[in-house]
Amino acid sequence: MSEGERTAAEELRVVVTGASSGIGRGVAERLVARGARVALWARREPELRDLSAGLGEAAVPLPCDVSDAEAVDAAAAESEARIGLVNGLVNAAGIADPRPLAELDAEAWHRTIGINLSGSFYPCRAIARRLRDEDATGSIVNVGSELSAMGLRSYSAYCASKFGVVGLTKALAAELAPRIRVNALCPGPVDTPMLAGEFALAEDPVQARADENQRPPMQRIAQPGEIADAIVWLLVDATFATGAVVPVDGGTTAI
Amino acid sequence: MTDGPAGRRILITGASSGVGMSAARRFVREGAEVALLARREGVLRELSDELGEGAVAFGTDVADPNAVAVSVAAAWEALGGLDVVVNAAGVGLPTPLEKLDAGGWQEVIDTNLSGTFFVAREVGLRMVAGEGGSIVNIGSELSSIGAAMYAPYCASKFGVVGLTKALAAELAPKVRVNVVCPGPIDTPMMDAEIEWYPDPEATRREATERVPLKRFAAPEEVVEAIDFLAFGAPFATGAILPLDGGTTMV
Repeated sequence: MSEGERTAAEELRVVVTGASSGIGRGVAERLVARGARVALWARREPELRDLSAGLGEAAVPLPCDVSDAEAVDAAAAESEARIGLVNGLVNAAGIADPRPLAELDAEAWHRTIGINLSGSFYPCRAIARRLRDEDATGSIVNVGSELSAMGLRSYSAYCASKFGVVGLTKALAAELAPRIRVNALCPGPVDTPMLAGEFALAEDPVQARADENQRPPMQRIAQPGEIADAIVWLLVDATFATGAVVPVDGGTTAI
Repeated sequence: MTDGPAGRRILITGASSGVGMSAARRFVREGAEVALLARREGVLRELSDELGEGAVAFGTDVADPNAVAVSVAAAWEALGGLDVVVNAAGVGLPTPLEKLDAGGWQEVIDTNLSGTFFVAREVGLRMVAGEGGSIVNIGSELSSIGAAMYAPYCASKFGVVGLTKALAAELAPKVRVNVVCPGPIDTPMMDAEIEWYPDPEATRREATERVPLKRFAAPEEVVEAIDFLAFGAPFATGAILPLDGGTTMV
């Protein structure tokens, strides 16, 4: 995917992590619609199989916990065996587990860092190594957050993980250029099961959603599909972008 | 992608060359109507003849607020409104500080920064009062890093980012305002910059080597990003989209 030429859709072979819901799911659907072959990675096997069944033969479900380095290497090898040499990666797996500092014990910290940050690194490493072995070109999109650029109370681990994703993106972009592009897409609030889970923790979930809808200058939260569109664009169409950190956040980080 | 240029009304400044010209060609090809602004009326007229019925041209120096007001009003009238603005007008040749007088400084600031503002203001106010719309500004890799002999260019392009974020905040939610920040692009402006140096061939080689992707962008790749911000990213506002082959990531 370098040299300014878009990789033809039928030559795209993409691993999507966090594919069972939200943004990852939207990305997988769009890539299959464009004609790519996709390996769907997620922990939740039933959801993964449902999605995969709906997407047909171009999508291969592979249960995988991205925070487990060995599981990731195994899933990467299996993905290559099933769809061919992987030349695209979207790291959409992520969790948000807001906790005030007093409740943020080492285990909770490691869980968020493990999935959001290490869980982005391990797939990058596995896919990039194989592309380098084969002297092939490729493209990676990591999913950051508006909290890759600003702090929020009770989100220490999440902010640390998502700021970290940006650092990882830039370092890998430098190391893997010009053969592999590495970029990050940083969404604001998105109407996903993850966000619904965060609202559910509030004293008044309905009010929490109403407040969140008012927070971005765009006066709404995003649909997963519009974030997935932006990720696919960055992955496939932004042929001169690498090390780029692209906010699609309704303006929350502009102010 | 959620949407596209077909049937949209797009005003493009700096339409007589480089990114602006490339944008005009692509958007008309995809079914948009375009209003073309640039200083060089001859070139502009040739382009609008080439593009046919989908294009109207208004010779305009964007540094002149009165000229901008007249041209924007005429473009709005001619196309029955505007959905998108692409602020692609820009100037800037390398100038060492000892040769950079107030006039040289002013020319770059006036065109790149004030020109972007004048157009965004004229169109943005109409869009807010009407059906909304999207403004895409063109920054630069020099919106976030410095370069020797580019003081006014850097100042103007850093300024374009600040302007973008402030307007995004003020015009939301009806009007989105975003900025593409390209690295080196193969354009007439880049040729002129490289020609300025004593050994242009070596300069071009070094400039290419400096880019992690080891090449310059084609104008079409920048237009692809403009298209994305205008039509493919309905939740993006105040966003800086670097498209620089990796030059600003370090």
